[in-house]
Amino acid sequence: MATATRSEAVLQRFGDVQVYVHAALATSILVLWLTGLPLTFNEVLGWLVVLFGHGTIVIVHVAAGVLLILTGLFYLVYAVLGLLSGTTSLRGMASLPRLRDAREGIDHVKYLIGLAGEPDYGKYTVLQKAEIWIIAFETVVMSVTGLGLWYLGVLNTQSPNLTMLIVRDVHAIVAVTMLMGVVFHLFMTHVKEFPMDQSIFDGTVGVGRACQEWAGWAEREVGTSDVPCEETTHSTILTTGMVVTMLLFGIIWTGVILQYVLAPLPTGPSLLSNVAPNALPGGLLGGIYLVGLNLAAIVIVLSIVAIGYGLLRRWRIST
Amino acid sequence: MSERIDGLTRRWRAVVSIVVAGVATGGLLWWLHTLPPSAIPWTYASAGHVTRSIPYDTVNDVWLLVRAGLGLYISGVFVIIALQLLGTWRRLLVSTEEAPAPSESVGEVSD
Repeated sequence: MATATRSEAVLQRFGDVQVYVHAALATSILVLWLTGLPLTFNEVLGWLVVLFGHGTIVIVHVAAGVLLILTGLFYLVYAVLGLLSGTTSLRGMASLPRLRDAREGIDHVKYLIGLAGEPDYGKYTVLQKAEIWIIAFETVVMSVTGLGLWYLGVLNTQSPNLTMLIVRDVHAIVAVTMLMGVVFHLFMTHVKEFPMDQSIFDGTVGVGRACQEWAGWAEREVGTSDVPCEETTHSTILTTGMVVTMLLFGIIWTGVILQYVLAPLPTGPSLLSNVAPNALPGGLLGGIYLVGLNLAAIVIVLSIVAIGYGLLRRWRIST
Repeated sequence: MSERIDGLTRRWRAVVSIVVAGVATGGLLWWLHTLPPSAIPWTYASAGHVTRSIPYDTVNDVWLLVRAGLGLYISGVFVIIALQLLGTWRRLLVSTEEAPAPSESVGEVSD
């Protein structure tokens, strides 16, 4: 874990494989949204269908799905090979859930309500571990339901059965919930520095930031408990306003998805026709959907560009 | 088996993983392609779709279970997001106010 001076000191946080797996997974998931959203909500994102053509969007969606499955399997095999060869161990896998995470979760809540100081988080906090495993769960659900829809539903010339209609709704609901999670992940993890945090591309993180966010890990990596933490000042009003806005945004988003989940049985004669879940309400709420989904599409495009920029920068530095 | 791959370097692990993942993905897609169509003819009813082979109540029960699971999952995602947001807010603001004066010494960082 190399360092030069106090201001330049960095810690190695991600290996090459983690960087490229993250980029491949993120790219495939973002492309799946960019193509899946207009297929699902074709009323408000019809311009994407007009721009690229329905057939192209379906093909790209399937190709991105195959990349998602391929990347997921790659990482699984890579981890298993690491364990079998003794290169890594279960103890060394920082993202695995452990018993002490329950204790850390309680400490985190105590910290939030002011009963205790901030826990000395390891490489990943308990909430980051939960995020990682939720994304793994979502990847499996999206892969299984997507394959089911493609092979057993959409390619079928007969009317879909009820199981397929339920599978279609689960696919759409998990995708939209996953989109919410990733939007917050982008905000809390990647958009920390202008134009974006580079840790996931160059694999390193400044000691100051590491000390601030993962004190326990930073101390272990540096080998001393006297790690210099980042000293930054923040506007109370601006930061609080931003967090409250994001929380409200999350509450509304969650409410909308839950409202759909609590709706009656899935209806509609075809997996691809203009029926639920893409039947959006009209009026003001419809306008909010129109703006929200188009904003989501723009964020997705920008994120794909950001991944390309990050990888290009990594390759330039390495050469 | 374990001894055979003991000597694998990180690079070889990656290469083997790519090959295995590629073959597994291709195999999965090929296997799915061989499955027969699963569509069951359905008839429209005022209470929803009714298949000829599965009673509406059965489908409704299954969908209720699926919805309950989805509700738990969505709520869980929101709780994690909310706790992370509040944690970030507290770290950025409250901790800064409560933090003691920074130490002058900087720990030695080894390679």
